[in-house]
Amino acid sequence: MSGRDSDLSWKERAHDLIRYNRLFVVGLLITALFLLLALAAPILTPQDPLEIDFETKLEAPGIEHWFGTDVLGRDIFSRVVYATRTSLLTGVMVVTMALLIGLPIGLIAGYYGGRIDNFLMRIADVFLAFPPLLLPIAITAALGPGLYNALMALAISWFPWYARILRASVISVKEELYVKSSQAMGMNPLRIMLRHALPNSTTPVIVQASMDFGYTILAAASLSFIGMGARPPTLEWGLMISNSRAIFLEYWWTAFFPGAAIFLLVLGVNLLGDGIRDILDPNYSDKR
Amino acid sequence: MFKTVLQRLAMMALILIGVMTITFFLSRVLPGSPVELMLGSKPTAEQIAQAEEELGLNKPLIEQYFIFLGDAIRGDFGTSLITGQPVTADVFVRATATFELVTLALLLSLSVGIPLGVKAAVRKEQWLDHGVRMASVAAVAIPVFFLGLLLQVIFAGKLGLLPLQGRIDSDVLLDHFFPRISGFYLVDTLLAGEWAAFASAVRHLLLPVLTLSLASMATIIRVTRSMMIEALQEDYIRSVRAYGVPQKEIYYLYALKATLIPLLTVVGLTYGFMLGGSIIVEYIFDWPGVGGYMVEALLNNDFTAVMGVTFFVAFAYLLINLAIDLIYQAVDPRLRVS
Amino acid sequence: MMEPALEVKDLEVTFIGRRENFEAVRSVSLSIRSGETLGLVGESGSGKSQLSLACLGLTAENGEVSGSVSVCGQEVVGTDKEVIRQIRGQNIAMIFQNPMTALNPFFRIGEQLIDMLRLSREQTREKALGELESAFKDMALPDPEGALRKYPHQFSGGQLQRIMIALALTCRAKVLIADEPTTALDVTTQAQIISLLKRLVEEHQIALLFITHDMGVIAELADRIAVMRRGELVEEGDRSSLLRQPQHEYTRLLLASVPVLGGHSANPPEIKAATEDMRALEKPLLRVNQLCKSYPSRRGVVKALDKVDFRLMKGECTALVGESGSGKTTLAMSLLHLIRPSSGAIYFDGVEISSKQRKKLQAARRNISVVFQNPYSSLNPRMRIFDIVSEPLRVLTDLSGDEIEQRVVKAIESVDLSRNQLSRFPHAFSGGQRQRIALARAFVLEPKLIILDEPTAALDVSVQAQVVELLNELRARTNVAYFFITHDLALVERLANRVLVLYKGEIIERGTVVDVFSNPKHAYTRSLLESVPRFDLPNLKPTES
Repeated sequence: MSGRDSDLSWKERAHDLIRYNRLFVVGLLITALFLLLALAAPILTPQDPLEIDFETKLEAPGIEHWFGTDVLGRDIFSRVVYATRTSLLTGVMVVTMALLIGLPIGLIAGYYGGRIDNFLMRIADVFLAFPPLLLPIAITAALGPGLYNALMALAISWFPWYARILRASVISVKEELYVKSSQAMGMNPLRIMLRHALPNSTTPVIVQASMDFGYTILAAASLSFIGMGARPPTLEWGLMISNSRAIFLEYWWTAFFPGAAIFLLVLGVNLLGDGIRDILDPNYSDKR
Repeated sequence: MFKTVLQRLAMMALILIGVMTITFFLSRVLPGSPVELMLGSKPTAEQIAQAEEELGLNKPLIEQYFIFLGDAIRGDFGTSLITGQPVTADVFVRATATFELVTLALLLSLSVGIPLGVKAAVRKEQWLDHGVRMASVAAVAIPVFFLGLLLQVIFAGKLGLLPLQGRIDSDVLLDHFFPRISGFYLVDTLLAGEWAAFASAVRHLLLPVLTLSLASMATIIRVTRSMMIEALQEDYIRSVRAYGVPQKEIYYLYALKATLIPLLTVVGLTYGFMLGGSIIVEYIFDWPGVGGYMVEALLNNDFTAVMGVTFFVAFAYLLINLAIDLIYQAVDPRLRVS
Repeated sequence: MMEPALEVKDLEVTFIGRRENFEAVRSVSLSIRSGETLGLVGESGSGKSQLSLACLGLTAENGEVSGSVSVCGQEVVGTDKEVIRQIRGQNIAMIFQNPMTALNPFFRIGEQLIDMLRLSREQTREKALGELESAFKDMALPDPEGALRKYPHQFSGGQLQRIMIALALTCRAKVLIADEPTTALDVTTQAQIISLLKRLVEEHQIALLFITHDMGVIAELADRIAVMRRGELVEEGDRSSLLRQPQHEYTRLLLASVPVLGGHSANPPEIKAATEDMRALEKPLLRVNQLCKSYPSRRGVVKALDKVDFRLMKGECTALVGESGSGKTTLAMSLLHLIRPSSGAIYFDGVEISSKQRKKLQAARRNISVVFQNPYSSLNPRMRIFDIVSEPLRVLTDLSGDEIEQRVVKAIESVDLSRNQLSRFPHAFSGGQRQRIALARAFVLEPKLIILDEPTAALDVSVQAQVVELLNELRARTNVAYFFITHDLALVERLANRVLVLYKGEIIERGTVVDVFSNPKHAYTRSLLESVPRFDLPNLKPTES
């Protein structure tokens, strides 16, 4: 009888979630905190993140520099706060671009089926034949290292997932009788796709996208870490850790704070994503 | 069964051609022509023309494509700029190191992840379940490279318990030589009876394996747990309950089997995830595998090597997925052709 | 007097929810003796399934059970889990609605049944095997020894249900609970399972609690009948007195709405062209000529439709009867031009419908509407009722906004809904209301033909009757023709003038409903008619209240 939960509207479920799922609230708070940091970075930081000061290089965390300073004497706290912008942007851009490429492909493949479907899905299969991270690295290598190229590369290697998920969902929605009714009326296929098929099949894609957010941030940071993503003077957590690779055994704070920031943000975003899934896909949460 | 195998193989060949095509395309949009990279700065026009002819770059693109395909099928992916060796040879020398690392990490993830996931499902909403879930949510959020560095700081730096990087101590290797038979150090040292070398190999493996497996372990826990809970809600579990079968048998005889079979597909995905992760892990731990080779090539603009590695790793991943697919066919009675 | 095998006293099952508690079963008492069958009737959500789960001690964790259930003298409520476990499978067993999912798909039948017997009754493997084989023989399963080595997906639904009954039999359960055991099966299979259960109750002196929403099935099988509604037992009594003189208003409503052959309360509107001669003279509205459809499959070509031929006149209702897999759906989809037939032709109003002539096709589509079986799937959940009902007008006509609004209001009022409801979304409506909305959408074009694909199959019986009445009323008023697809012969009698019987893609019998039903020529039609439950009881009409 737990099925009664799925009768609730999404507003009621969101209300229940905030009230009963503490982890979701934690995720919400963490994400909100980072959004605030990103927006109010100039007000919150004590120092210009790019300001070099050899006098104070490699100082340990203290009252002056909360997170210490790096090899060029730059304030790590300021740098970590500013880099929030890069990572949030990363998540939004990659997921959005991947959706923009993946959704039309999935919609067409699912709705038409047959040869078109076969062709499009084999292309998607080829992209999925590369282990994650490998294809983005190869694409970034080809396009030339850089943050925007890395984001593009991540989106290109990620879109097949969305195409696949939407396709599967469109195939089941296509069997719904309201789609059959519209077909029996002789309605224009494009109109059926946009009015009936798409609005009723996006939920699983949104659920997946909200859960991918954190993964995207991690992947982009990894690319930066091996020198394929953001380049100086862009502020990026993965890049900051990469730069302190030679010295972190002695000066742990140069790598620790950026790393902790990634961890916290990804944790928050993932918890939020789980919550969004529970709101949009009550059957999934029933199973848990 | 034979027909299914053939079908899968044909499908795989098709995808492999797609993979080659993508690799070719990427290698042709590279910044800076390969010629410049090969000849260094300021080559003469003559030198360029000669090199282009040698590399076949003056031919039409479509012809280049077929030459590339032909070479690729013969396993020829060109010569690495940094090692001066054929990329294929380089990859094969390093493949066993990567394979050893990834396989051990996978085994660790599965052997810890599945029992924990099952326990969490059985004790749903109790403290064990909550604890396991919290830990797995946290584990997924740690960047692999940060985890690797943290472990290095703690176990190699502060505590000095384990080696910082590498695959084996060079002093140990000098004193306790062992022949390269399988390429897996754990196996080869044992075959040679060199216990000191074996111990050294184990100590070197611990940190990279742990780094690589933590996130996947968390995923496997989550998936096992939810599949088990799903299986427990199936109608056939209800019938078993209605006939008074004890709870323990319901969990470990009926639901577990229904959980393990679909879990196979997750194993394939995890393997791919780890192959990707191994690029970073090998770089951090200076592990002499394919991933470390790739990062080195990236940092030295050795694109021939990068594309070669890309192809081979994708190929390995395809083979593994093929194997898993066939196992799945064999164990799920509904897919078996009667 | 003998002690009852199953005795339920003041049973209450309450589910604790976050927002509100839900009382699934409210103070229900009943008892069954050995060799007796109690039919428990109720519509979906009446609490009948929760009652049965409580009898087995299988209520979900968030449910609280109070009162008493005693199985062969053993108390179940509040008893230690381990003790109840031993009662299950020894004294009480259950079979469920959907036999296709009741067994684990990963194990062979023999493996899992023997395991269940071994683990629940501590029987040896050999003994269990032997008993199962003889029970399979008793169930008339083909190849009883071979069956144990097969996997569940290799059996049909009816066979699997027999396997489940065989298991209950092997356990020598004294109490058997059957929760809608025939609902997922075809009518002919349904009849076999029911006669099987009847025989077992007698031979093995089992106390059977038979749960269903189908009054017809109950009348066939039960010694006593109990009626449940919203968790409460509204009436209980022995079969004949309850069927003859129902005391409770709700029981009367249920009885009145049961589709029973011969006992129908609704009558289809008469038509002009009632005789064969008159039909021959008149121009048909729909003519289907030698229609064939075949699909390639692993075992060669499957003929879904084989030379189907028929005519449908203006204003008449022709029913197409067949079981699942007979080709009913293929035929409907061909008429709607959603499937291209392999050969043959369809003429509507004298014009051939084919994709070659788009204009004529669109013109035909304006005059053909469809109402599907499942009202939960036939309305787009993200569109308002107004948009749903007006969609055909917007797609197929050039009417202005005002005209569209007028037509929509007229349509929605003709199905007894109010115009205020037009701005709401489908989820605000019940199944019956949704089907009315689907009808409004079908009628808004003022078509000449409506294809009705099992329009009442997904509805509770009491709602079913209302929809049937509405359909008859609308046909009388608008002179629309219906092509009515169904597996339910009793509904045919209430809705249709003529009937076609489809069997394995071929039309094997046709004629007026009266002729075919009173004098079926084909053996298959006879078996269909025999499998429909009948009460031979007069006076089933509800007393006006």
